[in-house]
Amino acid sequence: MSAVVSAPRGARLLPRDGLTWFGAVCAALFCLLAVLGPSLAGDPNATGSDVLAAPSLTHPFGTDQLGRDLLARTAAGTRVSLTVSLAAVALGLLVALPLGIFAGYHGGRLFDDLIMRVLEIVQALPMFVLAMFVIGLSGTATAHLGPIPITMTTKVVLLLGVAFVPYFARVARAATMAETGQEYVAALRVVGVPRLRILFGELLPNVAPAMVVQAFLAMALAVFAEGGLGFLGLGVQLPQATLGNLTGGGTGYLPAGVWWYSVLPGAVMLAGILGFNLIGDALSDSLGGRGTTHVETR
Amino acid sequence: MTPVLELDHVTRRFPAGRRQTVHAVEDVSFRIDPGETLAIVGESGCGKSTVARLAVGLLPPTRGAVRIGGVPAGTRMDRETRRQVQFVSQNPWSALNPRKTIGHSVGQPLAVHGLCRSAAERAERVAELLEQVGLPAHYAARRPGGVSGGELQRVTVARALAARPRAIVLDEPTASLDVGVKATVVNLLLDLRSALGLAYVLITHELDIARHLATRVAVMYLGRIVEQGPADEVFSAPRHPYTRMLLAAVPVPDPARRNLVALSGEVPSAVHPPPGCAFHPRCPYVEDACREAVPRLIAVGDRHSACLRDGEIPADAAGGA
Amino acid sequence: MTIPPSWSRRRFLGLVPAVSLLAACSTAAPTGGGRTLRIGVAAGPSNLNPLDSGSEVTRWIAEPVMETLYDYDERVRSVPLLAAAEPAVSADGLTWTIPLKRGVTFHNGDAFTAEHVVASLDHVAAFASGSEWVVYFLGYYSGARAVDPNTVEIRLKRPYGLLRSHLTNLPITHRAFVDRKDTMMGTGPYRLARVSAGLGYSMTAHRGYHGPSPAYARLEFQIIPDGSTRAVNLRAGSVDIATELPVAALPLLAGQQAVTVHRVDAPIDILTYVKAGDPPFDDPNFRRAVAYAVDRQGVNDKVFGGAAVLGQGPIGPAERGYDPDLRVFPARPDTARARELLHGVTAPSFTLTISAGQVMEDIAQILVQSWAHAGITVKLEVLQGGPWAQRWISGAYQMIMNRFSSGFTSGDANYLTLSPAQSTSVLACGYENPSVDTALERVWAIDDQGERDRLLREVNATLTEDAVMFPPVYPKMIVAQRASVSPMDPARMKISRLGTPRLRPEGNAGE
Repeated sequence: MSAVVSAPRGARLLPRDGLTWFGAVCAALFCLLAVLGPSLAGDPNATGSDVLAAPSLTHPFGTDQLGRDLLARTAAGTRVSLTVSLAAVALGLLVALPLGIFAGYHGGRLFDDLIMRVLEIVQALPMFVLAMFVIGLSGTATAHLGPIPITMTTKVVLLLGVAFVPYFARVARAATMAETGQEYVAALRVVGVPRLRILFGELLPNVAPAMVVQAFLAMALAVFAEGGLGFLGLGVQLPQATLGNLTGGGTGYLPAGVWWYSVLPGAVMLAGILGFNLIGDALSDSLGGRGTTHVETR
Repeated sequence: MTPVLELDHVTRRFPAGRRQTVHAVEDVSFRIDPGETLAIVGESGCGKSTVARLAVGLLPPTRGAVRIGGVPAGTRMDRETRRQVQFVSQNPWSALNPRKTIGHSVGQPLAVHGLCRSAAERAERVAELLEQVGLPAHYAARRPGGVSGGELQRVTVARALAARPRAIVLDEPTASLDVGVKATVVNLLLDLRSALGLAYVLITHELDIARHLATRVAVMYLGRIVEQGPADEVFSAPRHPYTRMLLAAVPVPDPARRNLVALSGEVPSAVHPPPGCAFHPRCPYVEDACREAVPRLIAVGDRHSACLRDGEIPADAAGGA
Repeated sequence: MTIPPSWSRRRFLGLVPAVSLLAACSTAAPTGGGRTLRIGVAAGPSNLNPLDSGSEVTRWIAEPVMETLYDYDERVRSVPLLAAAEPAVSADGLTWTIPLKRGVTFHNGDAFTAEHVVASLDHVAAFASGSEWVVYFLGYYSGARAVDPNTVEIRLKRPYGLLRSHLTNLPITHRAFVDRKDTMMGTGPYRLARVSAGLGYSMTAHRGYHGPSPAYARLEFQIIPDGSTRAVNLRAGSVDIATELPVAALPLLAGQQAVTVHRVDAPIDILTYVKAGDPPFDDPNFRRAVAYAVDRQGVNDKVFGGAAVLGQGPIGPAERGYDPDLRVFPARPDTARARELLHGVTAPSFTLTISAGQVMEDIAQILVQSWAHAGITVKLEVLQGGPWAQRWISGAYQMIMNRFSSGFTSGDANYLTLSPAQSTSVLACGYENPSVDTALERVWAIDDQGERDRLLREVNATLTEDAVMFPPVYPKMIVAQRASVSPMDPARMKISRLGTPRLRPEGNAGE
């Protein structure tokens, strides 16, 4: 049994360097646009007569080929991005945490092996290939599983969530294994605490910091993935605007000099990805002591 | 009288890859009666930590049986049996969940075993327990982070007490503490024993601590008990060559003994124990028979010693206590 | 039927390096004498058999490679090409005898004889082939036989005047190639030499051609999925002709001396109709309300740059039976009239099923907005080509839209577009109108073009007033060419063709 000295607790807060502040501001603006933007910017689907107009006071982000205000569409798209990303990360955590914690607790034994093999299979498929495969098979219309309608939004959330599960589960497992190696887990067993309560009452709060870091990094990845899928036309469908289909739809007009259509929604997407990524990195640094893990390679 | 805790010919082996096995514990038997303190001593690698874990049901024995209050106790004990033997481990920092308050950790046995009727009652009992181990009641709101090692160890003792056990297994309870703090913990254990009639199984390599607390002593070497008996007798007049060596190596402020006798050689590997008596490569009294048969514990009165030449070795050879 | 280029944006990402490479390669003039005509198209069809697939690109590729029994002259009249003379029709109209031209060979050296004509006809008439022509042959075609190597006899179940139109549009292929979807075999001035899936198609001149000698040594169709990129390539000179240019790309070509942009009224339909047999469209007032609320001007301005003609009924300016004076619906949506017609309908809504593609999606979004202003909630369903076709054929839609190039199957008319209005058709949309049924039957049966036109005008008016088919606009065919190619023939473009067999190099060598 190794004796691990706990990290000083005061380093919880984000480090105060410029890059982290920049990231925090980016992420905050992204979320602000998503939450407040749609109510302030107007109807994203209202067509107007001013087609492909450059950014101006009336249309800060310009207009698209049908005369719709791109700021309103970008705000609506950011909201979809944020919602889909949050939902996918939440789904991934919901499935992955119990799996990872169970696997880590039983580290090296049958249960652990079983779970890890299954997750490896999921992880072997590159996310985009998997998405294209599934969406190619099931189409971009609303599928029906019996009476339950599965919209494109649901499909994207499910696909991303499932793709995240192996990553979350691995981190949860590693963090759990590190915790399980600690004496207090054995002590709790001697006290007689039932296993489930050990896993979710005692271990989980210690695994949580590592998962928070992963959640932020996954948010960045989800915004990117949702954008990528939308860019390829495989995401949430028209006329609903998403950051991906705005950026993708605008590429056709780039040679004609219409830069705002692709670039501005793309910049918003970039801000979101960068922001969440930087916050995740900063958290990872500051939670280094017990947030990161000394993993037993098994 | 039913012993509080009994190990009956318990063996524990671990697979070590490539068809090798670690013989961590071989054929160990002992019993603890209420109020007794058994100290298990030996060098590192002798298997005493494994014995501790076997005793509290964290590991299942490969052979043999562990019984708590007469009831067979494996890794799947019922809650009532489990309650009777509690555990204090070596490292107080990792023995407590760093994210939970001390009050939560000490109160857990109360919650799990339903010993209190309400949260308020539990909080009161936690305060009592903390005071019993000499800590102020307001420590219940603190986290282990800012608390010193000695105080934390007392917290783990309080937690062990909370379940109202009949015995506590302590695995190197003072090993990571400073000298002055060691004494505090030892005194606390003594007080609790006389106040509550607890039995202790004290695993330690610190012989002076063992001397203070133990009523009986078992000496282990390479997974086996080589000598066992009442503490004062074993410490003053060791019989087994290994015990003699151990005690001779302890620094003692005695002007008569200027030269310490260092133990020769090292503890051999538990994967490939030497044939016959495991100690024979280092034993100054070795003869041919020692290489062939594993010596059994020979009883003389209340004392047991696992040496083939038990009666032959003069009592004062190789220095006494 | 034209399935518009789908997945264009996806291909764009993967093809940018390939396209640049290809563009770089093709700027060099071919060595060894003769020149290459390079044509930029939007997508590579999955089915290279023009007997099966009516996709524009398939037909444009087939144009220089395969020929028809009869062809259109510059006045859009049918004249013999592979046939030697007009067909001899029996008195009861059920047997057609066609003499064939002698001395014609396929690109693989085999002689062109009657058995190949029979094989082509039998192929398209069979349901199992999956050809769109089957709608034309079902119920009419009884069979064909080779009377002798140079005479074909076709037997019919009913008098079928429209067969003459089909013989002028159906390409004839070698009987061993009727099922091939990966290549083409024909009698035309160019032979298909190489198919590079996803990249392009190249053809070489067929020196044994029975007509005027081909002017180019090679033809190359290059797949350039993005419209603006096609325009840029044309401007830079790496293609000589660019097809299907989107409106947004046209400013790139403005003021270019060496480039001419053709905007021609052609039989390109925005196929738009409703399932009139099922709710909610079985209510004529609901249909009319939806039709009145369509923003025709908006679609014309925003999607077609004002270049299209506002739509009324299913027949457009390049199609027989067009009536320029028919004006049932206004240019801007008449929201008041629509709401009046919807009186009594609670929460009017329906689903519009369209095929994927920038143009269709843009049109649909404009329409959804204008319907929303009239209080109608419309759910948009965008499907890829295959799934869209399945829905269409199975009838599982409420309102359906797609681009459809009629010119390839019916020359200067769009008979197939009107089929769903016929209650007996395999594509029937549930509309029951005996006068329309009778009229359309006569259109198919008789051979008097004047009478046919009159009937078509009537049917068009009825379908418009009854709001069964109401496309928002009639798009023009937009093709641009460089001065290095002889001017493209408007008469060919009027029937959706590029006229590649007759094009010649012009001006200096190079760009």
